[in-house]
Amino acid sequence: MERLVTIFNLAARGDMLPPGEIHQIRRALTAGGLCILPSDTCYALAGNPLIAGVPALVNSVLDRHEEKISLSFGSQPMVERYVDLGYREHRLLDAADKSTPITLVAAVSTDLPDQVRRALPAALYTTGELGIRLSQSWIERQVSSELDVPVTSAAIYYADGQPVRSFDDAITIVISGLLRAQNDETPLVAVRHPPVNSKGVSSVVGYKRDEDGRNVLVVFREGAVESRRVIEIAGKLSARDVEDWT
Amino acid sequence: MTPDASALYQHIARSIVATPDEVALAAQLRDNTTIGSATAREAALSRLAAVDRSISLREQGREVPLVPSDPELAAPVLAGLEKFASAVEAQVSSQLVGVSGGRKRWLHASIGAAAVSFLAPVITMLTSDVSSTRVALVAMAVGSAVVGGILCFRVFQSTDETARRLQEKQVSLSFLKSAVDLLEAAPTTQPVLERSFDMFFKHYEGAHAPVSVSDLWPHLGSATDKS
Repeated sequence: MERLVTIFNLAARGDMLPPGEIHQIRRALTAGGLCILPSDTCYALAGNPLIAGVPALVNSVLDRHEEKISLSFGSQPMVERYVDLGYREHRLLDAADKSTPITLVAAVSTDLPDQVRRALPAALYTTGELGIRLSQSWIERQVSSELDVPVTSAAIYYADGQPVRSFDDAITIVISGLLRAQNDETPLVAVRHPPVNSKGVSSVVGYKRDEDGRNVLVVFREGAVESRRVIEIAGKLSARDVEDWT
Repeated sequence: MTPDASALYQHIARSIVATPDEVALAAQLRDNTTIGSATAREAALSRLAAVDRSISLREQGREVPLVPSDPELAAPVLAGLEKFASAVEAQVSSQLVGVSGGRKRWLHASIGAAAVSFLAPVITMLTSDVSSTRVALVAMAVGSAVVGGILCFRVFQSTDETARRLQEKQVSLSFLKSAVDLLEAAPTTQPVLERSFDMFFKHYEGAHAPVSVSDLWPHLGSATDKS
């Protein structure tokens, strides 16, 4: 079975796609399609999580079973529409950069309509919270901004658990996954990008209430940012703290 | 089916945040874009686009719910709504009492004028000789009574319509109060609250036509209409 993949090329890290090309990606994702694109640390599979069946397809293609899926956002105001951020969460989010890839787990915003509060976490295999990222990959942000909704950001892994940083391998793995899922209709687009040097995937962190009702920092997955460094970031006053408290 | 309607329907049907009612409505509107007059088709497409916009705003996290989902944040809003409903209901009730009194008075005046216009010539004929001066005076009295009777009856109609609209508002306010109570118990019933506001702001009682033949003689009026 043959698979049609539309490929777009980025010449340098930090480049963005021209409007005509980003429009083609938007059209594919709006139709329930998938996009292979460079994330912070490796290639990831993006889709529109608000279309029924897309998150499940992402997990199926990447053979992730019912693993939780995190989202990548185009901007911080967009993040704030979907999750509630306190000063603790802001400290972690503000510290995320190229060398500190962090995925933050935060509670779904109480301002969201009920349908979104219920349906979105359920579609992403979470309960009442979302894994969010403000990516350092401009193309990932551009795609999310173009759609005006967050996109799934599921890292593509080799069978041995190593993240995929080769474009050709990412294409091969995703097409194999689509064939395995016997899916030959979903539009597939991909963005080729110069290799990314990273120590690993993003670290997944967040706060949970313990039995005494206190907020406790939890490192759900230790990736490129070590737990020690996460604790250091969480305990450090940020410029935003000073701005908020003075 | 126009391509636009199909695309709009596809988006709504595949969205995880669209309710089953919205999907059903979208399917009906999509079908309506292919039948009926050009105006009806355009209206269906326009409504379908409005549903699609609402879903898109919800997907983007931009749709602001009337009442926050968080019970703590919702409590003051619901308390405010209850206060609003009670205050407006008290005003509506007091106005309704005044209008009801006025309505009765104008109806009595109308009946009184009609009685005068009937009794004046009868009493005149029974109690005295018919002279030209007396006939002229009685004719003037009867004419004035008829005009006065019609005016009184028309004012009665207006006050009657006002009273019915106020009663309609009372019902919608009761509905609003019940919706607020319901929302406290079941936060997912926001559409009921939104519908109660629709009821409150819209009029369902149609306006009366100005005085016509049918106001005085309904059968004659309907016969004239038929011809």
